[in-house]
Amino acid sequence: MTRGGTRARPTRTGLLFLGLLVVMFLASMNYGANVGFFFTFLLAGMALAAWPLAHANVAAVELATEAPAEGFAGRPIALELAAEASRPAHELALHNRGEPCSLTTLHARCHPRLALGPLPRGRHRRITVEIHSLYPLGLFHARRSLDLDAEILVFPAPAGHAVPDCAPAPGREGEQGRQSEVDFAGVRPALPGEPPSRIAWKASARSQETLSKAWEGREGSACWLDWDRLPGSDTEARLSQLARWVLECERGGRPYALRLPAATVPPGTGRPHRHRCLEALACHPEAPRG
Amino acid sequence: MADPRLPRHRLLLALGLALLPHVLHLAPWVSALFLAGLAWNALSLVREWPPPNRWWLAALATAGFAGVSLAFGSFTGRDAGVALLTLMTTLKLLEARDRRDYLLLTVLGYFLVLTLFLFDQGIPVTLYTFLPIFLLTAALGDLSAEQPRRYRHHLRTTGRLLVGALPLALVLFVIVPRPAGGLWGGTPDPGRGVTGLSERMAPGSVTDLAQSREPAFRVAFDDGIPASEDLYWRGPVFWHYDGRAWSPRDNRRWRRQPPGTPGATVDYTVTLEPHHRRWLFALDQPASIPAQAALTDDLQLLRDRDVHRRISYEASSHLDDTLAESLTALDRHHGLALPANGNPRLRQLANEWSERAVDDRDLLAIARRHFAEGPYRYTLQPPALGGENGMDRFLFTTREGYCEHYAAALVLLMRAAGVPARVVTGYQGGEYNAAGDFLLVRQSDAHAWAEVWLEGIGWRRVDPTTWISTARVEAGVERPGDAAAAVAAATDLAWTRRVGQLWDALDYRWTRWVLGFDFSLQRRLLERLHLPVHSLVLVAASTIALLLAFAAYRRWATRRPTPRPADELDRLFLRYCRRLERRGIARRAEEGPRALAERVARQHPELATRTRLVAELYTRLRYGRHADPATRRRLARLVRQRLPR
Repeated sequence: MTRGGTRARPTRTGLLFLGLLVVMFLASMNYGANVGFFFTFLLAGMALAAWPLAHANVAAVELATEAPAEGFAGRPIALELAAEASRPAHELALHNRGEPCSLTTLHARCHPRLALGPLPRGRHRRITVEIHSLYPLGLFHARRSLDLDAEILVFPAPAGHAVPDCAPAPGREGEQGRQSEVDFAGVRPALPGEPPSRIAWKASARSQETLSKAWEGREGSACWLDWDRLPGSDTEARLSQLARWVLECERGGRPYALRLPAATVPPGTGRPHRHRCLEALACHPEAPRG
Repeated sequence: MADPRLPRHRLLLALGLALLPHVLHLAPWVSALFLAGLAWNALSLVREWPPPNRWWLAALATAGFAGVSLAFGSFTGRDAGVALLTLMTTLKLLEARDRRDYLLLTVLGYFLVLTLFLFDQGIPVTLYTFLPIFLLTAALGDLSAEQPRRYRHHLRTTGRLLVGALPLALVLFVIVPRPAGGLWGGTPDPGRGVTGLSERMAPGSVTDLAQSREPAFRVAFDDGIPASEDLYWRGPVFWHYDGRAWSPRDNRRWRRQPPGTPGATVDYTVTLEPHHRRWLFALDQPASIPAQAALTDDLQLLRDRDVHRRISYEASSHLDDTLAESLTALDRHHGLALPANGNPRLRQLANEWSERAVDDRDLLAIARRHFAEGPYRYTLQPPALGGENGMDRFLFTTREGYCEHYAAALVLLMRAAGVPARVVTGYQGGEYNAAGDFLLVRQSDAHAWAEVWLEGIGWRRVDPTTWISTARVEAGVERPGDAAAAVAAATDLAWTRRVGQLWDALDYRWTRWVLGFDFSLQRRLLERLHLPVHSLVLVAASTIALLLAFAAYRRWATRRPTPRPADELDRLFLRYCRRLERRGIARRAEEGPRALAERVARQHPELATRTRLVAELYTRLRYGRHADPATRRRLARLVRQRLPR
């Protein structure tokens, strides 16, 4: 983790407060009100004391990423953080271009989930998180930005048209057609979010847990999603197209394989397979330009 | 509809407490409006009332301003200003809906609290003020918090800040030099002070002498209190008599120096209550002229402006009842002036005396016998004399009166007998406060006496009231140091009176050292610490420097480590990176110019062209065969330009 600089700058309220102090000082001077002077100085002292407090409040926070995160480009990604403070820190807002995440008081270690702003495709090993706070009086806005070591995989945003040649047969007569191309390889524990068509209902009824069917593609019968067969020269557009196809094939339940210039993923289905494909797309090198 | 999550009730409480002491001096309708505003705001939350119509608010504002204009005649000045501030706060209470409105209300609340000191700077008000200040600050924290929290949290935070701020406030109070006086001339509205003295003296026309127990001034003597028969505090001097009332002489001159009366002086410090006039009081005869004051030729101290607040000044006096000076022709003219007619019996009596008297001193002795042996009575409720020949009526019919009557009668008799004389007013005596070791002179100690010009001697103080009632002058002063008297006094005094005296002593110290802490006291404090006066500026400057250094240190200690740029080209590129950083784009450690440019192009398309060009030029200059000066200039220009929006 890299320590970022902490800054505490006066807010609008802070400037208003400063104006109040100036006016009070002048009024006290005009009317020779010594007690007015004293309270003007007292308020000024409180504002001055608030400044290091605002500073220290934010500077006390330590952040680290807790687990790897992933998501699609252009969509918010939730990142689990581990936050800790060397002294109780109050009224914090963690922020990374997405929806800020607020922490009322940070005593011991806690694990806030931060919504990251949209990130570009790729593997991100570093993420900037800003900590904001108006504590203690809202006169100063303390801000610190931290570069955290992270493991964030951002897949290309799915885009383009539907799977062309190897789209699943229309009318969803499904099971037979699919069986002809892939081998039924038994059952496995169902993953959350799997389409109902993939659940092995009978097997699940017999078992304690929900099971789903596993298929094994045969070479040749799988749908090959091939980089080289895509028209155009825009790398990102091609990757987005492939991402869409991966998702569609996975949803359709048919085996698919991915071929990129630098990587090849053999045919298969299921969550891990899908993840492998998307990871390969995410890690595709940026187009050399210029 | 206002944001229901805002912690409004706490702010409303603080605002109510801020206004509470103002109720004593604000016009009742202003206070009533404010309370109505508070109640409306509080109820609108519960009843879910919508904010009032804009036209209603405008009408209310106009009515309020018109009311202030009618009641005070202007929008400036203390009373009108505070009324306006209260009205503004009321309007804001009615229309407030979001956080920003309530923050503004908090600031208005602070302002309302601090205007209290334009009216009253006493100890109770000062102590009370901590409460609204504390609660307003807690409300500030409350409003700035993202999520509503328990009040205790904000109170604790505020407490910490307050404790941290107190020493700083005290130091600033002592060291910050404050020039005295009116910036915009808004002096407090006159007519609030009570004084036993007035610009004119009309014996018999006003029958209720100021029997006010209000303090007029307090005096701390450097060494011991003089005898009570010497405690004549000199104030306005009256020469001109129009048959009814006495007034000062028109063409008075300033003395460059106090009179050179020989002998030791008595030194003391006077803390004067505001009386909205220019008068300063000193023991007869003033031997020094306080700062910002001047001395008239008839020995009255006048300040350069009216006394609208408590002030302290140092003075010294010769305790001498005779001013050995020659009489100018003008003084003789004014000192003998009488109205053309009126009071015939008085004139006749004076003529008889002057025929009988051997010299001026004998004349004075005859006068004394006349008053002392005649059936004259001292009373504070004399019958009204009214009309013409009032002095005749007093001397020969009613024969009842107080100091003003006797002083005026004696001066007129002397003048009619051909001896210059004048009336001097001021205070006489005072009450010793043992707890505070000072003399308290009250409004009820107001007094008038005469000064008579004696050939070959000079102006001599003559107090005809003592001929009538010795008690008036001799009673009253309890003296320090007199052990037996002190014991007697201690046993005599009811505890309430003693508490009263203690409070008075505390109040005096507060007045003298806190409220009277001005530039001259600052200077004296430094002198006592053996610091030169200019060290005040030094201390202030060093405090500020220290604060700045602290800020700079914090900044430096938490700075972002930046690699040192290797050469001019890197400096240019890093400068561009800093520009990007200000837009929230930080270059990653592993990112080269081109990678950075591509990322910027994806995330911030508006910066794409510029950044790509910068990267291109940088790469060309860094890795190109020959560095072209034109290209370098172009890069420098690009870096200097503002980033497109």
